[in-house]
This record gives sequence, C-alpha cells and structure tokens, in this order.
Amino acid sequence: MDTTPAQTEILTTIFIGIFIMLLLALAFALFFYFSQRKFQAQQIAAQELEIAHREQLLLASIQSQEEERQRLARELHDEVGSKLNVINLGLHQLKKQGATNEAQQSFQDLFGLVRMTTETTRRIAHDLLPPTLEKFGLPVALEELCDQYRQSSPVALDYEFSERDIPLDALVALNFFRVAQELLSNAYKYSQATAIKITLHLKPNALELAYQDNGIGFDPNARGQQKGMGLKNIESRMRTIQADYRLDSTPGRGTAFTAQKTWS
Amino acid sequence: MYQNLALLFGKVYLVILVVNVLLVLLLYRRLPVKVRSIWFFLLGSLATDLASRWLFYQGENNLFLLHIYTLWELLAWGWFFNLVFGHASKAQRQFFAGIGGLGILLVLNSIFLEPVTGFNSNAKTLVQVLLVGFAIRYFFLAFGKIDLTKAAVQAVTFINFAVLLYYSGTLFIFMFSRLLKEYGVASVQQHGLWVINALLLVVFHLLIFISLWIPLRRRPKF
Repeated sequence: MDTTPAQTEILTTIFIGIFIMLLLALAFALFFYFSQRKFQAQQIAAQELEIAHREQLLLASIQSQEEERQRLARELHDEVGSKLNVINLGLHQLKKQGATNEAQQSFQDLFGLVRMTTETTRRIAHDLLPPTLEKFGLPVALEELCDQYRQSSPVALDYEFSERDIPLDALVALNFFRVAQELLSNAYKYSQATAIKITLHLKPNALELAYQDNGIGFDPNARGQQKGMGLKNIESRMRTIQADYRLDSTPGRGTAFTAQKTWS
Repeated sequence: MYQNLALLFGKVYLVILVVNVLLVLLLYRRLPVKVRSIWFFLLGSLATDLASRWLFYQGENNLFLLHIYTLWELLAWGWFFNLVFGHASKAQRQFFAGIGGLGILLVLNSIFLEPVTGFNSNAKTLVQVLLVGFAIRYFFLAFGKIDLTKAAVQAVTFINFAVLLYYSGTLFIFMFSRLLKEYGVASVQQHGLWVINALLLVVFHLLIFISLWIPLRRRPKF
C-alpha cells in the first residue's frame, strides 16, 4: 500500500519523536543514577572522614588521659607520699622531744590522720596506674583487680590465666587491663550479673582476653541508642593496639567479649 | 510481520501484568506503602486489557476503553505520586484538586471534543506529559536525598524510571494517533508504532515487576 508524502512525513515525525523521547528519558535516568551514585560516594567519604576524625580525637583523648593518670600517680607517689613520710618523721621527732598529756593526744590524732592520708594517696595512685601491672605483668594485675571486686561484691567472679609471665608490650598490657577494668565496671554497674568469668589465655602467637557474664545483656545494634562512652573507649583501645575484638550481647542473655592481639 | 510481533509482545505484556497483579495483591502487606499503592493502576490495566481483548475478538469497537483507561491512569498515578511526593495536608488538597480538575477536563474532552468511538489524543497527551513531569520532579526532588541502597527507595525509583521511559516513549504515538486516522494512514502502516508501544509496555511492566521484587527479596529487619 502506497503512502502519500504527508503520511510519510507524519510517520517519520512520530518515529523520530519516539526515538528522541526515549533517548532523553534514558539519558536523564542514567544521568540521575550516576550523579546520585557519585553524590552518595562523596557523602560516604565525608562521613568516613568525620568518623576517622572523631576516632583520632578519642584516641588522643585516651592517650592524654593515660599520660595524665601516669603523671598524677607519679606525683602522688613521689611528691605527696614522700612529703607525708617527712611529716610523719617530723611528728615522731617532736613527740620524742617531750610533750604534755594534751599534746600527746593531739600527736596520736595527727599520726592517725597522716596514716589515713598516706593510705588514701597510695590507693588513688594505685587506681590511677596499678604498680602491679608494671612490676608483675598483666595476669597478676588482673588477678589483683578481680580480688578488689570480689571483696566489694557477692558476684561470683572467676578469673583464669594460662601463664603468669607473658612477655607483653607495655601499651598492649595497659590497654588490655583498662578494657577488663571497663568491662567489670560496666558489669557491676548495669548488668545485674550474678556470675562473671574472665580468662587470659596465651596462644602461640596471640594473647586472648575473654569475658562473659550472665547479666541482663543489651542490644549492641539497637537503633536510636548511642553507644556508651565505655564501649567506645573499649573499641578505641582495641584499635589503638590493633587487636581484634568481638562483643556479643542479647537482652536477657548476658554479654560476652573477646579480644585478641596477635603477633608474628 | 509487525502485526505478529505486536501480538506477541501483547501476550508477553499480559503475562507480566498478571504476575504483577498477583504479586501486589497476594503480598500486599510485605510491600512498602508507596510501592503497593500501584495495585490500583495494575488492576485497572488488567481489567482494561482483558475487556479490550474480549471486545476485539467480538469485533466491537473498544476505543471507548482507552478514554476510561486514560482517566484511570491519571487517578491511579495521581495517588501514587501524592504518596511519593509526601505532600503536607494543604499541598495534598491542592494536588488532588488539580488531579480532579484534570479528570473533569478529560471527561468533558470525551463528551465534546474527542468522541469515545475514536482516539483521545488530547487527553492522552495531557496525561502523559503530566506523568513524565511528575517522574522528572521525583528525580529532581530525590537527588542527593535518597539512599539507593534501601530496597523501598530502589523500588520507587524503578517505578519512576518505568513511568518516565514508557510515557516518554509512547507520547508521540498517542499524540498523533487521531491525526494518523484523519490523514488516512492505513492500520497496516501503523503496526510498527504499535509494536513499539507493545515493546515499551513489556519493558514498563518488567520494570514494575523488578520494583515489586526488590522489597520482597530483601525483607526489612525488625
């Protein structure tokens, strides 16, 4: 069947129209898709940068906190502690030089006060930086920490370690100790656990710290619930020493935490 | 050859449409609100298609269905886009008033300008341009604000892409359909156009099928 020029023209117009419209629609959709992907990638990169920045700030804060703790512990031990000893000696000298009965009573009060202040200073310095950690290493320091908790609470706290002498980098030992300290502190404050177990296990090329409690647990991925500072600190400390870690907790089913530092 | 191709695509389109209708009706509750709102459009499309086929085999004029279908398209997509744009109550009233006003225009067009026994080029062009505009508006509004990794967002974007592609591609076919008749272009010579329409319908409903499948495949975590 023959077509007139007008019919051919209108059919051609329609076909060209269809082609152009399809091309425009496809181009528009593709442009949107790729621009959106690029935009999203930029947003993700910016967010990652922000997270990395916050992480660095947190790490710096932890580091300066540790340095400050060390400095305070040293100051308390070296300055305050030694000066209290001097005061104590001075008081003894004065007492020997003779005094009235009333003064004798005052001396006794002052001795008591100096002894108490010395004890308090030692305890604060100890809490800031346990000398056991430096002198006897991580396994013993953790044992001491667990003993302190056992004395203050009826929770069944079980601690096991595979070896007493573990050759460890001071930074690794300190961060493992702080993590255990944080876990125990959280457990006693919030978990309502009746039994806690901590193990420190030395493997051929790794050190593993495992923690488990039978407390109320929590949802680590709960939306709208920000991670507590304690948990963030634990994560940052593990990242500082490049250790692998895993936290498992379910509401009503307790909490388990494992940290492992490997070396070649 | 073109006629056979158009019939083949028409059958494929019908199969996909039936699958889509079944998916949206049977798994309605598992689909995101915006996505499942297209059940209205899909059901209307299926009813119109089946009725037009039946009338065609009866040798009856089925073009009046195109007039009804155009109005249905406007209302169904109006409902969908109202949800997609997330209008506030005042804007929603204005939007529905606009859609309603346009619907009245379509009815008046069918009564006074384009009889129901022929093509409704004016109405179809108006509705298609509007739907293409809505799809473009969606893309503009969505840019930089949506997360394409989310299943529900992906599905809505796919539906918009389907709307943009189909209604842009077939705009010229329906715009000139009445003119073709007036110019006396034989139906044999128009087969090529209806093949394109049928092919685009297949693509359109395939994209809708994908958009229904995405949220079903990846169920939200509770």
